[in-house]
Amino acid sequence: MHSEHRFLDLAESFKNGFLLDDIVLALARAEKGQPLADNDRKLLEKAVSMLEFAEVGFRWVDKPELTTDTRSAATFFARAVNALPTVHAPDVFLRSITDLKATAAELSSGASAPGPEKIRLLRTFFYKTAQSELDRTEQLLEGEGSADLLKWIAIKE
Amino acid sequence: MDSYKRIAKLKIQAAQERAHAVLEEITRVENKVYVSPGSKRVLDFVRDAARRIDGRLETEHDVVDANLLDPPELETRLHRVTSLIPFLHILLGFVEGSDVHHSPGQLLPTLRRYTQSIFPASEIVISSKPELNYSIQDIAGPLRKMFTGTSVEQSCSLLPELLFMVNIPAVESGQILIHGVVSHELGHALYDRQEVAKKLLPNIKLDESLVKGLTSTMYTNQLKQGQPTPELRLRKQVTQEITARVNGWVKELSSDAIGIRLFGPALFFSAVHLLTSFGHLDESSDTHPAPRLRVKLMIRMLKQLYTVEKWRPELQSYLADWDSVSAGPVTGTNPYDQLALETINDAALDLISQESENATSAEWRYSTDRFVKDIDEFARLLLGHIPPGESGPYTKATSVGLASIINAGWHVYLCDFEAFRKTLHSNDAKTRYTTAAKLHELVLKALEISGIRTAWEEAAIDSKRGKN
Repeated sequence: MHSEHRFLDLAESFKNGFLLDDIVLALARAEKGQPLADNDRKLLEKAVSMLEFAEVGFRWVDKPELTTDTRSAATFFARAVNALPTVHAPDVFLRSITDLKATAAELSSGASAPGPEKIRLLRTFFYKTAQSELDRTEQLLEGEGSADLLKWIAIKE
Repeated sequence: MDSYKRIAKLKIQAAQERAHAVLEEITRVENKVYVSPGSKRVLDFVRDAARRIDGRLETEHDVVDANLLDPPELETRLHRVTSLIPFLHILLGFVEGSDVHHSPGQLLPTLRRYTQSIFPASEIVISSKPELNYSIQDIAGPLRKMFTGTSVEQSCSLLPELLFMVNIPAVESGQILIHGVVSHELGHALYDRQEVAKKLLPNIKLDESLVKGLTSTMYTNQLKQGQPTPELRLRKQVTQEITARVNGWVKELSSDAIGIRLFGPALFFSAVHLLTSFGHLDESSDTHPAPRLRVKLMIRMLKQLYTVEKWRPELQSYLADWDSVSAGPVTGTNPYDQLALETINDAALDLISQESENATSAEWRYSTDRFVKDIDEFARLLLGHIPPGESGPYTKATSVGLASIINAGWHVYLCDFEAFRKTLHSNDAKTRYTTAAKLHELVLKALEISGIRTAWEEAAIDSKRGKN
């Protein structure tokens, strides 16, 4: 039986994965020059929020405070780092996130159309995030997630 | 590209076949007799979800035909949807062992009523399986969150607001006193429902210099070893490890604190009983604090809320031993655990205790007066082999609450075990285990009587309403 934490993590992983896959699909439409539906724009608004969370997560160490958003910020920050494997310097990371966020914001508002190369960068970023979320889902399904195996105190399955 | 498309369609088709296999399995298992209506609701959910997942897979053909996604993107997307099939299998696994032949049926009505007194729209399923795993969890909330905005969202309307799945190891299903840990799990549900984190977390102060110091010490140490983690990745690691711990530990400790408010000393007794058998005192993880810290919080609360100095000497001595052990430092920790331990200090434990009071209404809370009364009245009945399921004069008896019965049972177990043993037939008193089994039988019988009495009271009220 899956412990509470693993079941909860698994359900969350699926939820995040569905969202990321739909963002990739919306970006694929945008890259092909297809008009974006309202639903696609909403998805891209969520993409902007995720990137904002990644920035907040990056800065957390500088001013560590606890709120109900702290965990999400840390998670999105970690995902963003994993999705940018060639980026090592903090300032390059922040610049990349800012650029990706600007592209997503342009697409979601419809104010202007970013170039296809910018959309491709954003699409690759979210595809890598989706892939890494799928890896996590698989691990949790197979009972190998990092989530604690123990339900109450220490009863190993 | 065409071969990728064909393989993608094959993947969809194979997944649809597996969804149908799930439907067939439900037809097979739904004929079993289940103790709780909750089991059927899980099966109804899985059946409906399997059909909708089948439909969702069908719509993925459009995504394939649209030629929008690169092959790896398409593979990832489809693989996620097909992974819902093994997920449905996990849900079916929850129901296994909850039929009348396996589930400890006497426990259910009282536990169900108790849970519904706190969460009226909740349901509970108790399964007994051949594995050493105690767990109690709500699955309705996570499922609702997971499927919101998807084609499976509507299936969630078949679920109650909260659906607690309880798993008890088959070989220990009769050891009823351990089930006091249920109050910790209700604590989890209340932690979410009452938004405890929102009020609590901002008041728990992390020492900025400790966080920064940890990051720089790790970097310096790694530099000395010639293998420094790039700053960005180190920042990621520190952020993830610390935030996971502090959030997770605060949640677990708060659930303990709420559990103590609901069940009083019984949660502590059940928890330390499990701990002594299966737990390492100082083993923590990113989601769970070391048991030593949890024991420390529970004892702190018991000393604040109960007149422990008036407890029986045996109980005082038992508590004093744990108090002394929990006062010691948690050993063998990594730097992240250490930082979390320094953050969740005595002041934080007091905040957690305070918020647990705010999260529980007075009528749900167990109290020192009730404990004294329960021990005086019901522990004595247990010693006389009378299951304390109802109390009061013959014609006006009322059912005894779940927390009262479990507390009385623990009191006999910890203070009067030998006295109880002497009252048993020689065969039943032969060993410690046979004696404990008799005590558990009595407690279970008390829960059964309490359940019947409450059902009777409810029927009487319904009948009265009918007359009016």
